[in-house]
Amino acid sequence: MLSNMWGSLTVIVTLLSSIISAELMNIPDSWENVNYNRIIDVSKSYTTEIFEVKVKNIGSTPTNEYYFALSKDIIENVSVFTASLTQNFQESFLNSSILKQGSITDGGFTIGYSLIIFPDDIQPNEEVTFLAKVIYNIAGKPYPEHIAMEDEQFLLLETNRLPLSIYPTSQSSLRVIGSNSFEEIDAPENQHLIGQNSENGFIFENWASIHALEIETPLKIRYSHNSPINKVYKLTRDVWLSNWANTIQFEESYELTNAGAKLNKGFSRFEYMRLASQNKQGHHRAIIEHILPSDSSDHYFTDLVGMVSTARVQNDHYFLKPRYPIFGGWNYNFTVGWTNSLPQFLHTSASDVEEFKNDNVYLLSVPALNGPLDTSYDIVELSIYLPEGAVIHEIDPPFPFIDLSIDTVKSYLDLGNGHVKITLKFQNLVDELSIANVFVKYSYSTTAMYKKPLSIACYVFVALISLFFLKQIDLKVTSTVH
Amino acid sequence: MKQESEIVSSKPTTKSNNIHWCVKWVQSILTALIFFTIFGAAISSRLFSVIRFESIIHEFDPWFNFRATKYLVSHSFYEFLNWFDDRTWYPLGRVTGGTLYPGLMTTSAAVWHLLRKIGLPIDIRNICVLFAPAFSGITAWATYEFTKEIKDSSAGLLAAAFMAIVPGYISRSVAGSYDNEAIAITLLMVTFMFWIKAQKTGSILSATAAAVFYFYMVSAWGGYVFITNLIPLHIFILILMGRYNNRLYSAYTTWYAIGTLASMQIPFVGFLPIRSNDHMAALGVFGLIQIVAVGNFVKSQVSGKKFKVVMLVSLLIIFVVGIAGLCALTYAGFIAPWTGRFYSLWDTSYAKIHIPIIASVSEHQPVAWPSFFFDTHFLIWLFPAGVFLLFMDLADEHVFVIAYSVLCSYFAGVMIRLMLTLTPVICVAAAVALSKLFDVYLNFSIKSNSNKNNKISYVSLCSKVFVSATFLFYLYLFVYHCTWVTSNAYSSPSVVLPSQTPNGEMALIDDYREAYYWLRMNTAEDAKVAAWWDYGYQIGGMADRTTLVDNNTWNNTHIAIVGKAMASREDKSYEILKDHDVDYVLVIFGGVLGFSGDDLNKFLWMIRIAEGIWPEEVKERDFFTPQGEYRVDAGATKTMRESLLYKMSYQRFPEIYGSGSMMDNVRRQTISLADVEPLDYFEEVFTSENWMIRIYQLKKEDQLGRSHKEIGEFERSTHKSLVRRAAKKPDVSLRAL
Amino acid sequence: MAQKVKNSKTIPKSSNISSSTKSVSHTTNKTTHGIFQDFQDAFNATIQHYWKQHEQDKRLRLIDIMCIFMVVVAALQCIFMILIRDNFPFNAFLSGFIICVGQFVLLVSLRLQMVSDFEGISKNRAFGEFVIASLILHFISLHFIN
Repeated sequence: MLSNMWGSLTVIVTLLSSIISAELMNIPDSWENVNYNRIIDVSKSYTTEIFEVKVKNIGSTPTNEYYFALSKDIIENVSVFTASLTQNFQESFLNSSILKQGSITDGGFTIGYSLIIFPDDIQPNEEVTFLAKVIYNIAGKPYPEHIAMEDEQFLLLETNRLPLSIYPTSQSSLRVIGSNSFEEIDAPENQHLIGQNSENGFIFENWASIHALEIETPLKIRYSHNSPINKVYKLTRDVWLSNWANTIQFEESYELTNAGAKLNKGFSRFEYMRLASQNKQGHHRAIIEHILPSDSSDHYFTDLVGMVSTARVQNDHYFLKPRYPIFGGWNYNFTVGWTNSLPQFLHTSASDVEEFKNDNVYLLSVPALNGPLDTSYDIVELSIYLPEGAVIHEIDPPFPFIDLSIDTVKSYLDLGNGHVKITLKFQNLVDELSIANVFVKYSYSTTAMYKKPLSIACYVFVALISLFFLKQIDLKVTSTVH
Repeated sequence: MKQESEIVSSKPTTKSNNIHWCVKWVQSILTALIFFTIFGAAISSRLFSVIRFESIIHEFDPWFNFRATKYLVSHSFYEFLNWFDDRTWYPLGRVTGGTLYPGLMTTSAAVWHLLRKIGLPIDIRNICVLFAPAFSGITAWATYEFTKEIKDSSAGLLAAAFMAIVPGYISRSVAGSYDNEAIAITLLMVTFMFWIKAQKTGSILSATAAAVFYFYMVSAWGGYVFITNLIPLHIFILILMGRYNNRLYSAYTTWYAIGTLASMQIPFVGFLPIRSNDHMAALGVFGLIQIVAVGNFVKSQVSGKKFKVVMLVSLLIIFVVGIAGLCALTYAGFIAPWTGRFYSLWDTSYAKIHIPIIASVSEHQPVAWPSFFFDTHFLIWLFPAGVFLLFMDLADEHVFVIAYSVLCSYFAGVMIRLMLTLTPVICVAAAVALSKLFDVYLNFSIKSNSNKNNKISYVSLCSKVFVSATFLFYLYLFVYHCTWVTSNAYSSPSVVLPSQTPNGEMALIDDYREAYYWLRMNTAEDAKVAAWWDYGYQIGGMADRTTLVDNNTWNNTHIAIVGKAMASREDKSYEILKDHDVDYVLVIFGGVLGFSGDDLNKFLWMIRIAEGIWPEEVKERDFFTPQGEYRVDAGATKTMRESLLYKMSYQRFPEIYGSGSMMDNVRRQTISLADVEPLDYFEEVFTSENWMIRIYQLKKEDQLGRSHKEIGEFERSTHKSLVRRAAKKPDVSLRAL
Repeated sequence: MAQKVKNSKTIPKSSNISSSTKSVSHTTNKTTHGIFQDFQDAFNATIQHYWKQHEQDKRLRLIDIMCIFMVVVAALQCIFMILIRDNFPFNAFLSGFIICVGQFVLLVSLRLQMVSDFEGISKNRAFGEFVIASLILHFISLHFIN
């Protein structure tokens, strides 16, 4: 299902670093939410929300633009936003884009919007149901912030209770899933608003007739989440292609942290050993499970002080044991690398451009991410190093980037300009996006391929010859000086 | 083994002119091939550690060199020379640029830049790791040239082969042992090689080359003083033997004038060459040789009778004036008296009494006799034979080798690390002896025997075969021994310790890096770490944190402060450490693993060094039981049990297996729960997997103004009443992690 | 000392052994006047030989003048330092002084080779080596002088 989602490319993931402008947008009140069901999934290190919204055009003119309201925090950290229509059991993605403008409510709440465009105009009084999914790079805050090693970790989810919409809502529901125990903090007196634990998560009663932008007491839920919160501040992912060796090498440097609750005392090895002997699942990360492309080889796991010997590969899973268990607030920077065979990711294709008709044109498709499960990334810098002399035709990233640069980098025995390097910078990614591929179309002529070894040979030859002549000259200087 | 047999076969055995060029051609090919194999042997035998462990910098000092090299690579050369490092010796800092020998770092940085230029952007770490093996190849070549001057090229090839694989040299030049010695021995041999050439021919050029390499040596290692004294000694002995000639004059004066001036370019050396007594011998001989030169000129003109009178009188005057002047200058303070390390060379107990910090370094201990054999195998008994053979010929250059070997044998006996300088001469002398032997016994040419009786020739042939076979067998043993020693004794990085899992697989004990990396990742960037000086360079290099003291033991007082803090009571240590802005205290504890090089075993040195400065406050006697034992269990003295290091080492240690008592695997004593008092002023923040490194943080000042002791007591009393020791602690297996 | 000199092989004029041992005992009996006389004789002989050398080879004169110049410059520097009673840029003084000494010994080394070749090194080659060594010396000195 997901791969289909990426393939269709109707997905719009929008990343906004710009601050939402304060002015209130002029949005026509042409819609009413007949039914607004919201599910929040907090099981991961990031948050996923799914909305099932049935809308009705209450205006007088047909329209196809629906403004979906999201809070400012979400807009700033959004990783994925998709909207789809389910008609006749077939899912079709809608065009959607996150707008730069936002608005401020009377209560001082900043709201951003995503614009969803239906394929056909919706006639007045016609109803349509769509699904929206938003993934954003915010996890619950540790609550309490400091806990003991053997304690259970609780997180705090803060969000709006009632549906946040620019349109009035007649019926709404809310469900929070992803943990086995929820507890509301600062619960309002109105019993009607309070949710209850059930098998299917934390469920709230159905609310009826809510005004547009009705912001009341925010929702605070404490829930148990006794596993580490993987957060990568920065991932530098280097992909090296070698047409000679027919290999593709990956090297990833992570700046990993555990955003979970910190230890209330210093780390005690004794307590840790006791915990381990009880086989208790703690809120620290002892093993990082890395998922590699199939049939990889030459794995390595290092950090800034050298090789880490505690890693092993099993069925394309690379189990890394960091030097120390990563407790809340602890950082661990590390580097992993591996090699795959090039044909796994590279395909030959024909070029449409006349100029490159005779060259070998290749289509490279590498996964955007390979990291551990349940991880969110603040910044990802993906660099692809094409062989020296390659010409780039097309770069097609699966989701928007914040920066793209193409330059050259000199590597081993690069005597010309060096490897062609493509650098793509992304923001707010999550591990679910690792299925997406980055496509690069480039050509690499046979002459460029043979130029390198020839020039190396030339240089070696020249060096030897000059050494020979130097030796001759040197002798003369000492013997014929007067 | 291959090399040796090739050397033998490379000897020309024919005198026929027709095929002379052919022989020569084969010979040069063979020589090249032999050199190639020697290089291969030299480099590959040093790569055990890389293969077995990884490409990593070893031990302690190399970490500093590596850090300095990284600094040099990322900054300009002038910035490097003016580098003031505020991340060590807090709060004093260290004028690093002026207190190091920059030769090593400069060379590797130059190699790095050069390789980048030719399209090989190799990581600086790999250059540093592979630096020593690469230079060992050059050392082998220099040894060849040196021995060639002493005897002939076959002896040279033998010496080169020995030098390439002798453990005494490998011990300091395996891959990763990025220390000054790695390059210094190479330079030592190159300098000597040029010196011997200069001394033989009188060539100004060779002497200049010797001086330039001497300068390089000065820039690389403090042991250059050895050359500074050995070459004048050589000249002095030759003059005493009446072997003065003009070639000696031109060689020595050129070397001295250029070498001295050049050596003063190194900031760390500065004006020492004209001020320190260590260098006075060279100056004295320089003066002497001028006089001798004049004398020689005079002598060539007048009769021997008259000359003797002239010489006797003038020599007497010069000696009296010279010695008086030297004494006066030393007394007036123009010339520095000999340094402590120098005194400890002559009197082995000097350091123990006066400078505990020098004595506390293991490599400054006298050599244990077996290590001579261990480091050189059968060369050690060929060595006297070689020296004896050189005595038989006693050419000028042989005097040099003899002087070198006598001087160095003594020094190596005093200080284990000077074994390194002895090794080359052992190789050279042994090669001379062996090649002489082979000259005689491997000469199977029939020509000389053709006229004689067949019987005799068979007998002599038999004896020849027998002797040769014996020595070839020894050579084989030697190679075997070298390989064995290198792979077993000298290839451990000491940062990583090898061990075995219960299933017999090889596992690494990586506690050092675990703790250092934890420090690096999870403490503030400007955090100050107090640890015993042994770990200063490693903390600087791997944890990248500011240290109080490190392996550059230039400030004894500062080291004593750390020693005092470790040996004092908790509250006192807290004050001392707080005064120095310390955030973390790091101790090494081997009790769980049985690692004997831990801080508790070094504790006596800490106490002694601290006692040297504060004899009133720290007393070594207090740490010994009345019976004079060093006890850490229930029998330990009160001072011992109250000391910070003791508390930090054993904190929670007896509880590991839940029984409340635990055997310390290093000191074989049982520590029980009652022995270890709680820590009030410090908090454990990290302990590595095998408890080898324990890091404690200084607690923050209490907001209510209570002392930490009061807080601790208060908490304990409330805790006791709550728990009443009801909970039974489950057993914990160390390896369960 | 005298015993040692006797064994030397490099001295062409070594007299026969019996007379020299005798002369040792002989000289001890002599008065200071006798020693002075010997001294003067030796001095005169040397000076004579020295002038003779100069007449044979003009180049030697040049070298010797240069040598004297070096000594004078070195002495001047010393005197200057003593006069101002300060050796503040000590490195500058040192490099100035040592270059004089160094150049002096290089010149003497060259002169020795001019008078009689060393084995395997021709006069021309010796001069070449001298030039290279001097260049290196000057380079280091310039660097040291700042």
